[in-house]
Amino acid sequence: MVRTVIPFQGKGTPPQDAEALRLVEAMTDAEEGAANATGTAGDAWTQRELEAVWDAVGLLDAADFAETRPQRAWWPMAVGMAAAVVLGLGVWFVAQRPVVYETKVGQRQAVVLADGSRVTLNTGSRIEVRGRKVDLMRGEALFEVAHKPDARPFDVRTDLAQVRVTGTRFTVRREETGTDVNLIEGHVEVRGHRSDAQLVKLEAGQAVAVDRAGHLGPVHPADTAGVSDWLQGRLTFSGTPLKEAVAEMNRYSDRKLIVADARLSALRIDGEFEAGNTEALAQALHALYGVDTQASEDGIRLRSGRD
Amino acid sequence: MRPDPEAFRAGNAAAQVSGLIERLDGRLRRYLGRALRPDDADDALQDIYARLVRLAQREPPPEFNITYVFKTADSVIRDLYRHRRRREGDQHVELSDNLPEDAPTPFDELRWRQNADLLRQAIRKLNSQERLVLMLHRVEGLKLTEISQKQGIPLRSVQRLLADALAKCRHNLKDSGWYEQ
Repeated sequence: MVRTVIPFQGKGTPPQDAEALRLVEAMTDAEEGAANATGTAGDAWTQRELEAVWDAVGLLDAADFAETRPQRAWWPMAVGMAAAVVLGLGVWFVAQRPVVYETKVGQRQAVVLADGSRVTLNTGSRIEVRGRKVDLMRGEALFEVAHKPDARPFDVRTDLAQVRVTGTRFTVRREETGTDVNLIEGHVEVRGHRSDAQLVKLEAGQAVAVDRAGHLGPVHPADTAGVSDWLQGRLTFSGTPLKEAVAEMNRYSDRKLIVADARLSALRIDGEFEAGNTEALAQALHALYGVDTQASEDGIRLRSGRD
Repeated sequence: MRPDPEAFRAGNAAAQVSGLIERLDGRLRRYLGRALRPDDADDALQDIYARLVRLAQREPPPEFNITYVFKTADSVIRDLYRHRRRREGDQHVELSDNLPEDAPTPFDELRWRQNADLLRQAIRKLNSQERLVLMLHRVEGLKLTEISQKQGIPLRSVQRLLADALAKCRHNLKDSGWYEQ
């Protein structure tokens, strides 16, 4: 006959609680004044550990035995609150998600924003619009800001400057070297991005530059002609150093002009050119000044023709 | 010659106390060692015995058992802590000359606090019945038979609940390294 012995163990009860029970029985006997109260057989070490628990529990207060239900109750609330915060953040984030407008090199694009303001993006530019806050990420843009009866400000920011508007026409141009603001109509306030930077109020026809350090430069006349030029896809140079003219022209074209000869730097350019037509400028330079032009993969190299 | 009943009772109580003390000495020391510095544990032990002997002379003498002894030990430790805290408050003003003996021992306090925190965590894992029995027995000082009557649970179940409570706590505390300290 095969007999299978399944050792009994109550569900969920840790092993060796026989030892604990023996100890408790001994305690009960002692309480009731039984004669043989002292002797408890079994694993002395386990009993000692159980006694240590019993002993130490005495230094706790009744409060330490309180039901933990209130503690259990807080976490669904915390989860709820966390969910609300996440939802709120999500809504905020979606609301804060900018509308992006971008132009490629040589491209120009006019857009109307939700508040009725018009923005014309010049070549290779990008703006991110959040309501009446516009970040100019690169390039240049003309803003024609719709006036709001509640005088809610319209803000344009670059990495260096902040322009606050109530209703006006102005350009903001972001370059490596700084940020230029040209005001055509109305009033704007310009502030460098440094927290301690001063603020300047521009009148129509005035301009200001913010340098690399975030400092405001002196107020000077706005280049309104330049603005109306680029709006029409033109570039006008008058006594402009070749280097500058080339840099300006290159903004509008992927086919760059490369000044490969230091002697050309002295050259000054006059004339009106189609923005981005680097080829035409190169031809003009060749025809007028005898500049050697050499087309290559990376652009058009300009060298002095008088060798 | 008939023994004087007063003297007999007093002698009996003293004998009872000394018997208990003999039996519980090691256990009491371990208990005090968890909450106090070794020096303080010795003092506390003396204090406990003194109190028990004093209590034994009460009329009628209390019924001495393990629970009673440990309740006394609890209150001695509590008094010591209270005394300490008051002392610590004083010492913000002036430093005691006999610093080694009387200095507050934040180390003790910290050690006990950590000990107690682990114990609380272990207790939190018990079910409500186990917790109740453990509390009534050890903190309120009720006998197991009293708990049985009061709660209307058979004595066997009360024993079972207390045994489970102790066993579970022991397991949890073992896992958290309570016994290695």
